[in-house]
Amino acid sequence: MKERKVLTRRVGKYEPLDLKAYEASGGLEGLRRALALNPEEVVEQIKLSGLTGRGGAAFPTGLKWGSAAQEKETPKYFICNADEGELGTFKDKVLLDGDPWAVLEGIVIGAYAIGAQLAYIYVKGEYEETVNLWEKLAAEAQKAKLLGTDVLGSKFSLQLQVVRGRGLYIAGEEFALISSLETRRAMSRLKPPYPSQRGLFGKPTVVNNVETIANVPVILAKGAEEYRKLGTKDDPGTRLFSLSGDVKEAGVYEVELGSGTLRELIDEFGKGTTGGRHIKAVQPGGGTSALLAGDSLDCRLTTEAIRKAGSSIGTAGVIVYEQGKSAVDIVKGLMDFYGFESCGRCAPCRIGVVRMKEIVERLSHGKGRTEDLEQLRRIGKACVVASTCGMGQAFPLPVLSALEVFGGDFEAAIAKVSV
Amino acid sequence: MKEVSLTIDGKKVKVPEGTTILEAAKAVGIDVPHLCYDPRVKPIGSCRLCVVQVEGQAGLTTSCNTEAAGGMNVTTENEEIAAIRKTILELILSEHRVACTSCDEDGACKLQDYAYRYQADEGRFGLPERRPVRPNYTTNSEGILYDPDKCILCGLCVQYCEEVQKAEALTFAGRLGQLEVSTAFGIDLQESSCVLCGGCVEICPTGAMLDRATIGKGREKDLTKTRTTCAYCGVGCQIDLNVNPKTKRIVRVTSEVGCIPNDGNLCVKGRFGMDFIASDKRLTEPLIKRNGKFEKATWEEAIKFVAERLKRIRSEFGADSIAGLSSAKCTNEDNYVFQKFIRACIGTNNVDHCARLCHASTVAGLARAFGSGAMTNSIDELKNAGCIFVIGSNTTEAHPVIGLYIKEAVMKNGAELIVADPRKIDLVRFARLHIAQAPGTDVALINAMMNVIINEELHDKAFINERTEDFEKLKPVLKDFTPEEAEAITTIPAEKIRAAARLYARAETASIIYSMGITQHTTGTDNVLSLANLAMLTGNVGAESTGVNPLRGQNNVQGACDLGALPNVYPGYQSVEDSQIQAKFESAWGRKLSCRTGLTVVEMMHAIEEENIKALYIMGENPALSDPNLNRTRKSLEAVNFLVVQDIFLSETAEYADVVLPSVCFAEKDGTFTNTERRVQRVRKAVAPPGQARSDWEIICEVATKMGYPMAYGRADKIMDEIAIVCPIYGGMSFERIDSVGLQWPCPDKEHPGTRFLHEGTFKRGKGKFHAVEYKAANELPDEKYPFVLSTGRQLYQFHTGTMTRKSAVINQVSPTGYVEIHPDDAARLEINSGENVEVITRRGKVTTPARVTSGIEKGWLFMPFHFRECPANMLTNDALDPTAKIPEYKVCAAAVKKT
Repeated sequence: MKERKVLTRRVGKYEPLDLKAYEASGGLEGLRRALALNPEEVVEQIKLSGLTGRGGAAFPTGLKWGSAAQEKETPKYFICNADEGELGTFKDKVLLDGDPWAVLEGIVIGAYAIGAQLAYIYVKGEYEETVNLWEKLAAEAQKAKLLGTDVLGSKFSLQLQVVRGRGLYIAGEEFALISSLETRRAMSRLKPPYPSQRGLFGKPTVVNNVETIANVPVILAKGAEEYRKLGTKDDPGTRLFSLSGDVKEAGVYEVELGSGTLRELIDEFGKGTTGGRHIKAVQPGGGTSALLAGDSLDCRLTTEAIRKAGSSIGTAGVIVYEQGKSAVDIVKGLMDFYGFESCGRCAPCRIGVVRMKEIVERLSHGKGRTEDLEQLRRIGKACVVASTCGMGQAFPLPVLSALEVFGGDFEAAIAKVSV
Repeated sequence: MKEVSLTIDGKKVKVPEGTTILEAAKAVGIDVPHLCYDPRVKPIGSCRLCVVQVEGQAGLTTSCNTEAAGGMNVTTENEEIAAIRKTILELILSEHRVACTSCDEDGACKLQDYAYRYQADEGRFGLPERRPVRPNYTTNSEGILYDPDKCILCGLCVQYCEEVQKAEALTFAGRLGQLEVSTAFGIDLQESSCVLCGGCVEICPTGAMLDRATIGKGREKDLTKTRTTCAYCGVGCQIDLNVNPKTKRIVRVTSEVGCIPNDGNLCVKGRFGMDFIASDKRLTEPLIKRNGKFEKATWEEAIKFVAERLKRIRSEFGADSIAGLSSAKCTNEDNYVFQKFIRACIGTNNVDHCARLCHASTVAGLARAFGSGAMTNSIDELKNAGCIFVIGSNTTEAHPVIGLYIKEAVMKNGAELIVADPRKIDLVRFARLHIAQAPGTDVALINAMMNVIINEELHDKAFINERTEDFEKLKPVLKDFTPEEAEAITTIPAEKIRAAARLYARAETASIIYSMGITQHTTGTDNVLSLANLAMLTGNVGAESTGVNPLRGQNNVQGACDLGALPNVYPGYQSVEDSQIQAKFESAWGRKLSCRTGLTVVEMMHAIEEENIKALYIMGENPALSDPNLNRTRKSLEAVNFLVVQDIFLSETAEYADVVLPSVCFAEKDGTFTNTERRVQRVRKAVAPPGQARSDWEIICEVATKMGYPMAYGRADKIMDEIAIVCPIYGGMSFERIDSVGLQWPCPDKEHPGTRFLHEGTFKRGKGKFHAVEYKAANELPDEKYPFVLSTGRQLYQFHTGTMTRKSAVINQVSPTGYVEIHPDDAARLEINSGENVEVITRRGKVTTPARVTSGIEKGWLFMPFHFRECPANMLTNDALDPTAKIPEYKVCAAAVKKT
C-alpha cells in the first residue's frame, strides 16, 4: 500500500507564507479557473466531482453549496471549520500549517460559488501557532489581491476573518460553531432549517471542513472528470488518515480511497503495535466511531466497506488498541473525554453522557452492578435515536459496539465485584 | 392559505401549510408529550420527548419543528417511542430534585405529568446528589426565585427572554455538570436587563422558576382562577387571578397563551403589581371630616351627609356649581352611572375625567379629521405592518405588551421601525431610524416629512382624490417648509427627516403609533391633526395594519370616554348641544337635561378659584398628584366648599376631602373595561372587598336615590343592557356576548361581529379632512433663568400616581423613587453626579430629586417620571392649555437645575 499525495503534495515543500513558491508549484490555478466560470458552473463542478465532507458526516459538498447558492437571502457566509476536535484526528493541522494557501484558495472558490462576501476560518483554540500563521496569511492574501474588493481582477469581493476557538469540543459541530461566531454559547440547534438555509446571523451559510476545502482547488484545476479518476466510483479522491494509538509510527497518511485495507494501513504505515501484541480493537473514524475487533480489519478503505464491517470512516482518525487492555478501560478513556463535552442543549446527550460516564467509571473501578450493562444499552440507544446533533447521536457508539463485540470484558468487570 | 392532508395515528388531519406535526396532532386531540415547546418561541427541541415516527423516514423525527406535509403518515407513539420517552424522562429525573411534596408546581408540572404517564422511575439512573445551596442571580430578587436543582435546562425561559420579551437577561452558564440558567456573569437579576415580565416563571414547565412571594401560598391545584382584565394600562391584557379559597387571597397572576390581546404575555405591573388589592392601607369604612379630622361613619350617615350637602349647594348656587370627576380606572358601568348621576340627578354637564390630561387632543383631532377619535386598528395587526412610525410613545415602558408586538413585527416579520422621540427609548434598539425632535416641535417634523413626500411624488393621489377633502388648503403650508427649515426647529438633521419620510411613504402598509408625546402639548390637537394629514397623504388609513393609533394610557380611559364621562358628549360621543339627542336622553333618563357644555378637569380647578364651582365629587382620581401645576391644584382642592372623594385608598386628593367613601377595586367587582383597541372586555370579581367597601356604581346609585333621583340596577350587566339601548356604538354589547372574547366597537346590534379596523372604504365623517397646520412653539420656552426643557412621563415599573404600584415590594425594589434624567455634558458642567440630589426649579415650583445622568437624553433637555409623591414632577409642569382640547402642556416647560 502506497501513499498518494494529492492534498499533501506540497506540505513541507515551501515556506508557509511564500505565495510565490505556492504559485510556482501550480497554486492558484484552481481559483483562476473558477473565476473564469459562473458561480453556478463552479457548484456544478463540485457536484460532478462527487466530493463529500471530510469532517465526519460525509455529506455531498456540491449539494450543500447548491442549497446555499440558490437561497435568496443575503448576505451569505462561507465558513472554514478548522476546529479540529475529534479524538484521534489531527490531519487538518497538517494542511493548515503545511499548505495553507491551498486551503485559502479553496475558501475563496467556495465563497465565490455560493455568493458570500465574508468568510471565516474558525481555528481550534489549542492551535495557537496556526492562528498566528493564518492572521499573517490573511494579510498577505489581501496584499496579493486574493482577498479584498477585486479578487484577482474579477470584481468579486471577499473578506476573511480568522477566529480562534476557545477550547470547546462541541464548537466543531456546525451549528455550535455558528453560535460561537455569533458570540453566543457554542450550542447546537434543531435542524431544519439547515445552515445553508438559515445559518450565521440567520443567513445562508456553508460550513466546510479544512480537508474538504483543500480538495476544491484540485477539482477546479484538474476538472471534475479528471479528479474522479482518484478513488473509487462511490468514493472519489483521497483521504488523510490520522493514525494513532498503540502503533509504532503514528502520523497522517494520505491514501487513495479504496486502495487498500484498514489492516494494511495500520500494518504498513504504523509499523506494528507499540507493545508488539496483536490488535484488539480499532476505531477507524475518530473517537466516536464504533470499535472494530482485531479480526474485522480486512475491509477496504471505503465508506461503504467500513460501514459494512460495523463502524464508519468518520473523520478517518484511526485509533488502534492492542491486546492486553479491557474494552471497559478503552471506553472509559473515551467517556472521560466526552463526559464533559456535551453542549447541554438536548436532554439525552446532556444527561446521558454523564450517566454513561459514571457507569463505565464504576465498571472500570470494579464497582459495577448487574443492571449496568442494560442501562448502558438503554441510555446509549436513547441518545443515538433522540439527540439533536452528531455528538449525541455518536458518542454512545463505541460503548454500544464494545458491549456487543467485547461483552466478555464487561461481564468480567461485573463478576469481579460479585466474587 | 394552502392546506395539507396527512394521517396521524390513523386519523385524517387537514392543517394549513407550515403547521408542525405537533400542532397538527394537537388539533385532533392527540397530546404529543413535550417539555420545551411553546407556540410563542421558535422550536428548541431540547427535551426530545416529542419524537414521532414518520413513515418512510429513517429514525425518529422531532414533531415540534417538523412541518406537516401532504400524505405524511405519522405514528405518535409505539413501543419503541414510549421506551425512548421513558428513558429520557428517567434521565431528566436523575438530574431533577424530586420534591413534589413541597413544590408549588405540584399538579401543574409537566415533568410530573409525563413521569406518571410513562411510569418513569425517578431512581432508575440514581438520584441527584443534594448540592449545597449557594446564592444565584435571583437570591436578592424580590420577584423571582430560581432553583437550579429543579431546573431541567429545557431553555424555554432563556428563549422567551430573548425572543418574545427581547430583554436578553437570561442565558445558560457553566459547563456540563454545572450548567444553569443565569444572567450574564451571574449579576443580580435586578441589576440585569430583566424587565420583570415574569414570562420565565410562567413558561417554566417545572417549579424551577417561581414567583418568590407566592411560595407556599397555594399549589396550582389549590387555587381557583378568575379570568379578568388587567387594571393598569390600556392594552387590556387578559389575566387570571389565582385565588386560594382557604385564605381568600390572590396568590399569583397568570395569563393563558392564546388569549386576546396579550397571548399570555404580561408586564411587571400586571404580574407583580397586585399587592395593593390586599393592602392593609385599603379604605374599609366611610369617613367624614369633622374639625379637620376624619371620623368613621356608617354608610347611612355618609350617604345622607353627601346627599344633603349637594342638594343644599345646588339649591343655593345652581347645578352648574357642582362638578364631578369620573374615572378611567373604573368600569364602563361605573362611568355610565356616574355621568348619568351628574347629568340627570345633579343637572349639569360638569363631568370630565383624566382623559382630559392624556388624549383629549386625540379625541378632538381625530374626530375632526376622520370622524372618530380612537385607535383605527387592532393591536395584533401591528405584527404585519410594513412600517411602524412610533412618535411620542415610549411603548415598551408605557404599553409593554404592545411593545412586544412592535418588536415581533421588526424582528420576525421585517417591519421598518421609525422612532421619533427626544429620548433614546428602548424601541430605538430595534429601529431602522431614530430621530430625536426637540420637545414640542412635532408639527415642524411632520410638515417637513409631508414636504418631502409631495416633492418626491410619494403621495397617494388616488386616495387623496377619492377619500379626502381640503388637500388644496394643506399644500400652501407645506410648500416652503423644507427639511432644512425643520432642522433649525427640531434639531433633526434634514437628511434624516427625508429618510423617515421615504421609509413611511414607501411602505405597503404603515401604522403610526403615538401617545402622550404628541397629545400633551398646547399644540396637542395640531400634532394629532398633522399625523392624520400624514396618514391621509400617503393613503395609510382604513386598511388592515394601516392607520393612526393613539395608545390609551389607562385600563378604561377608552370606555370612560365612550360612556360620556366628558363635558360635551353623552355616551357614544353624542353632543349635549344637539337638541334631538338631548330629547332622547331626557326620555331615557326621565329628567330635564342641560344643553350647556360643562367644564373640563383643569377648568374645574380654575373655576374653584373664581368661586364658580362649590362642590366637587371625585370618583377614583388623584388630581393632587396628577394635575399640572400642583401648588395651584392643591389650593383649589383646599378651597372648594365641599369635596367628596370615592377611592380605594386615602390618596393625596382624599386627604383634602370632606367625605371619603370606600370603594372596591377591579378584582372585587363585575363589569367591563374597554381597551385601547376599542375592545370591550369583562372584569370579574375574584375576591371579597375589604370591610364595608362597595362598588362605585352602587354608592352613586345610593347618593342619587337619596337626592330624589332613584337609581338601582342590582347587577352590573343590567347597566350594560341600558348602555346598549342609549349608546349606538355599544348597541350590540352584552355580558353574554363578551363572556369569552371581547368585542370591538362600533358594534351596533346583537348580530354585528364588532369592528377590527375603522374607516374601511369611507371615513366615519364621510371624507377625510386635511387641516392646514402651522408650527407653533410651546407655551413656555427656555431662557437664561430656566435654560432647560423639562419633559415628564411614565416609566415601566410605576403607574400614574403610584397608589397601586408603590404597594408592591417587587416593584419598589427596582423603582424605589423618582429621578431626573440629564445629559452627561450638562451634568458635568453643573458638577452633578448620577444619584446625587438636585433641585429642579420652574416658575411654578421646585422639587428635590436624584439625578440620573444618561446619554439617552439630548443636551439641554430633562425628563422626570411623575409617579412619586416625594418628588412630584407635577409641581413643576405648566398648566397652560391646548385651546381646543384643554389638555395641559405636561411635555414642555422651562426649568433650571441646581446641585443641592
